[in-house]
Amino acid sequence: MRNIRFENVGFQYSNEFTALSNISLNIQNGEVLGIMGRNGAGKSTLIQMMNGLLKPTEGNVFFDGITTNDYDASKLVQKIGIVFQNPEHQLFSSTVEEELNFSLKNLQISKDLKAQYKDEIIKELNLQSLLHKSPWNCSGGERKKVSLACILCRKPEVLVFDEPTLGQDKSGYKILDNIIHKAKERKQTIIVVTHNTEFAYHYLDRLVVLDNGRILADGPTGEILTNSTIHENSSLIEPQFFKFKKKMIENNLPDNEVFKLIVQAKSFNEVEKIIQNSMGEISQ
Amino acid sequence: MSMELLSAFDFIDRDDFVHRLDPRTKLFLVIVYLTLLIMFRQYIVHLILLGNLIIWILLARMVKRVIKSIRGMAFIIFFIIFFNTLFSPSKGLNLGIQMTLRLVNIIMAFSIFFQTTHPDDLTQAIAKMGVSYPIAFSFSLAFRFIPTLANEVETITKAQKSRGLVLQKGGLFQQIRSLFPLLIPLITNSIKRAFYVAESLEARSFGIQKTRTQLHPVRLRFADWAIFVFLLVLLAAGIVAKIYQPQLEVFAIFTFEIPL
Repeated sequence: MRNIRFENVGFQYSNEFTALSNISLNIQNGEVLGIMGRNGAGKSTLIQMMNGLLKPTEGNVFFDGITTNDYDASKLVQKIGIVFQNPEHQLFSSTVEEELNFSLKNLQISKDLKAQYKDEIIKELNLQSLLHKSPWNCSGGERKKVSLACILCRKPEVLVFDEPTLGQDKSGYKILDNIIHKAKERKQTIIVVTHNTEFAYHYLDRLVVLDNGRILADGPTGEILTNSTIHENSSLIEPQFFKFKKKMIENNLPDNEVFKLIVQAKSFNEVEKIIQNSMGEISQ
Repeated sequence: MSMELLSAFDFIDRDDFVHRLDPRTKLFLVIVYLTLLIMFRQYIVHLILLGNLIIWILLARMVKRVIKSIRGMAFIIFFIIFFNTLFSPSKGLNLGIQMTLRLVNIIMAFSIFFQTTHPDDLTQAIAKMGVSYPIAFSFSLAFRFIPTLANEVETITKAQKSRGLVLQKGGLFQQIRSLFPLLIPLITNSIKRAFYVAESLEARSFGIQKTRTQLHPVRLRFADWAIFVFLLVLLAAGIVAKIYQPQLEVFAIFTFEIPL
C-alpha cells in the first residue's frame, strides 16, 4: 500500500500567497498520474508536499497512512523521489560520478548495494561517457539526464517528475520513455507535472488539472484532454491528434468505413495502420 | 544560518504610509539609525532605537516578516553570545547581548528599507542624488536580485533535500560542509544570470541615451520633509549625548550593564 492522500490541504507561502486550497486527492499505488494547469496554478507546490519538502498549512498529506508531518523527512525523501525541473539547481560536484555518489551517500544501505545501484543507473541511462566529465561542461540534455540519474539511483518507491520534457530532444524523450515504461512494468507510482499534452496523452493514465490552487478536473487522460471547457479554463494546448480528429468530423468527410475507423482511433499510429490497411485493400 | 534571513530584503508591494515615502527618506533613516547604533554600545540607546524601529515596522505592517528574518538569525545570535561569553567570561555576556541588539537593529532598519522600497524607485532616487544612471541601475539591480536569490536558495535546498542532503545535523564542520551543495549551484547560477542580464541589457540598447525621463517620478512630499527633520533631531541628540556623556550624571543610565 503506497498511496498518497491529500485531505483538505491548503498551503500559504510566507509572502501570504495562497498556493493551494482545499485539495483532496488520492493517488493509488501503481498509478501513472499527471498534474497539469496554467503557470502558478500550484502544481510544483503540490508535488513538494508529497515528500514533506513543504508541510501543509491546512489539512494533512498522508503517505502510507502516516501524515508527512509525522514522517522522518530523510526517510520520506528516500521513498518519494522528486526530479526537479532545473538540473542546475542540483549539480555541484566536479564530476558526474561524484554527483551520483552524493545521491547515494545518504541512503541507509550497505556499500555493496550502493555500488550496485550506481552501476545499474550508469547502464540504464548510458552514463559511462559522462562519468568523469564536469556536470557544468555537459549539454542541457545531459545535465537533465544526470539530475534524473541522481534521483533514480536512490530507487524511490514513488517517482515524481517536474516538467521532465522541458528542453528535451529526441534522445531525452527516449530515455524518459524507457524510464516510464520500466516503472510501469514494476507497477511503480509515477507522478508527472507537465504542460505537454502530447506527452500526457501518450504516457499518463489519469490527469489532475489545477487552477488557482484548486482542483479543476480529475479523471482519465482521454476525457480531460477532450474537454474543451477544461482546455479554456486551464490554458492547456489540445493534442494534435484530437485537433486532427475534430477537423475530420467538422469537415463532414465521406461516410465510409475508413474514416469511421480513423475517427475512432486512439493515436496517430493507429491512424497510420488503418490507412496502410486500406491502401493494401485498394491495391489488391 | 537559516535562509529565512534573506526574506528581510524581499520587497512587498503594498500601499501604506511607509511604502509611499521617498526612497531617499528611507535611506536617510537607515543611515541615521546605523550611525547611532555604531556610536553607542549601551543597552538603553539600542532599546530606544529598537522601540523606534518597531513603530516603523508596525506602520509598514511587516511584523510577521521581520520576526521571520530575526528567527533566521538565531544561529548567528547563538554564536555571538556563546563565543563572547566563552572567550571573555567577565564582560562577554554583556558584549554578546549588545552586539546581538545591534545586529537585530541593523537587520530591522534594512528590512524597513528593502521591504518598502520598489527597486525602480531606488534607481531613480539614487540617480537623483547625483549618481550616474548606469551605476544607480546596477546598484538597484543587485538588490532586486536578493529575493530571486532567496527563492533560488529555497529551490536548491529542496532539490538537494530530495537527494538526501541533511542540513543542520552533526557538528559545526559537518554543518558547514553540508552547505556546499547549496552554495556551489547558487554561486554558479548567479554568475551565469549576471552574464545573461548583461547580454539582455545590451540587446535592448541600455545606456544609448544619456538623459532619461521617468513614467512615475519619485518626489519628496511633506511627510518626507517632516521625517527628515525628525531624523536630524534624533541624530543631533545622539551626537550631543555622545559628546557630553562622560560629564553629565543624567547619562549614567547609559553605562548600565548586566551584573555578573
